[in-house]
Amino acid sequence: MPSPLMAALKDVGDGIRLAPLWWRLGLDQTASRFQRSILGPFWMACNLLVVAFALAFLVSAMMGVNLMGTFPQVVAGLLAWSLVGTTIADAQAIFLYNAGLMQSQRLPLTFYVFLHAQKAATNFLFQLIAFWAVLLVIGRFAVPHWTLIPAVALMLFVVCFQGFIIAIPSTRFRDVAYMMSYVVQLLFYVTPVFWMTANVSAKHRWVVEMNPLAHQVELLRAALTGHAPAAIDWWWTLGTAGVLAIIAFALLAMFRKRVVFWL
Amino acid sequence: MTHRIKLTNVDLDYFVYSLRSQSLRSAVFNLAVGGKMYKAAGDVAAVKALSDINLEIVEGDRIALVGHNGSGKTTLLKVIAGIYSPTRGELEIDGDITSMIALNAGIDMEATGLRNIHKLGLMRRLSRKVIDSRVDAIAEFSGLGDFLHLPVRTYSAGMLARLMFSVATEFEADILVLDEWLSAGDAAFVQKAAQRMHRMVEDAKIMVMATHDHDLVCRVCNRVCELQAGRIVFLGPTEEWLAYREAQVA
Repeated sequence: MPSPLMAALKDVGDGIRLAPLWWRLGLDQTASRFQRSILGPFWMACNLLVVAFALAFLVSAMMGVNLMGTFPQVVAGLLAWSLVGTTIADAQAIFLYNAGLMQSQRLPLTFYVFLHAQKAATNFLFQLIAFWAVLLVIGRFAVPHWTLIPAVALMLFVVCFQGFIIAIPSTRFRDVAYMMSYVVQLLFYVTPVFWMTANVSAKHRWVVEMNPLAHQVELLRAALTGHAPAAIDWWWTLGTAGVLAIIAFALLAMFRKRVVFWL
Repeated sequence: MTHRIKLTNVDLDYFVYSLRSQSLRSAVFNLAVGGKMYKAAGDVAAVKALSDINLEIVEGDRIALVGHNGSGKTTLLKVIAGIYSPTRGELEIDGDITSMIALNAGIDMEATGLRNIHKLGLMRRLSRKVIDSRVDAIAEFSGLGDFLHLPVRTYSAGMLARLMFSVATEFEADILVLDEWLSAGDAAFVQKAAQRMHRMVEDAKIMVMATHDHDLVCRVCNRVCELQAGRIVFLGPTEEWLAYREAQVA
């Protein structure tokens, strides 16, 4: 095997071996983000609470429509989006955020990507608590389907792979870094988070069917609301993970030595 | 296990990306015009930061890297610390490296000194128990007293240097890599630090230090490596280096 590929494999291995370190550092970085605040990490849950509140009370009162029917679906969709979409926007900063560390300590590149996934998982967990709290309050609590665990695990793999694919060009070309938040905004509107696939006309249904993010959202949403996810969502997400893994590995092999000079 | 660092014919090209080259527009534009125009304007400058470095450092060595600003000291430290991979050549390292290259690396400016001790220990992959058992010793050596309960952003550069050095040298390190920074500490602390470095060397560890302080070199280091424009111009024991310096001046 050519040496860049071996070196990339070693990078992955070293990153996995450093699990205790990125686990603790991830918690530490999350905690320090909310230093000097009283609510602390529970601020992460607020995004979900605010939108849930706006939907449940403001919109339904002002528009006179009862959104209670789809309410749990929408909130579950938002929760899923925090793992599916928000992580795309955050990925641009994977190396830039840790520039100081990268320039002063030898750590594999995968370390920073795992750190990013760890923070995404922590964020998801806090929002999940808020999600259950909201559902309990409105009396629509549903026991999640057991497949939630493998679904979140699979999504975390996707988060790692796409993290590489976004972070490497974002570090080299800063425009990409700025662009990502707008790209994610666009993706948000073409993904069934606020709206349901069932309401899309058959003619435009392909937009959803061909959107890997839609399948990822549906996968998590089904499990969150107590249903078994559809097989097609599993296949799409597994396929996406496979393709992303290959691209991510190729990028790692090609640019592993260069990234530190781009900071 | 014996600790050792060996660099064989190491070259390092430092790529400097200009403001223009960091934007996607110029990359796209390069595609459009066949990559000539902007490259001619020098969008990626390759600086040869190190060339043909051959250096072997063995157990018990306290080696000083000296040279003018921009001679490649910090770059060489970063290569040894594994932060930069050599463009060409071989680098062999046996032993765990602790590097203190940027003074505030891994420091959370908002957190207290005590919390930062824990964090730096964490980055060294030490268990909570080990860190807890050494916090008092670190606090005492740093001489920071009650300041340890204040956020680090309130510290002066010298206080920060005290904190960093105390943590870095409290836990056993196979190889200690230090950049020019000790000058931030006051005379009393530098004296204390020098004693501690002697002790570390007695434990048969390696220390590599970049510095401009010739007194410090004489007090602490047994070998000197002088760099000029990315090349080694002198490598040998400290006494010989002093003679070499005199010959240069004369």
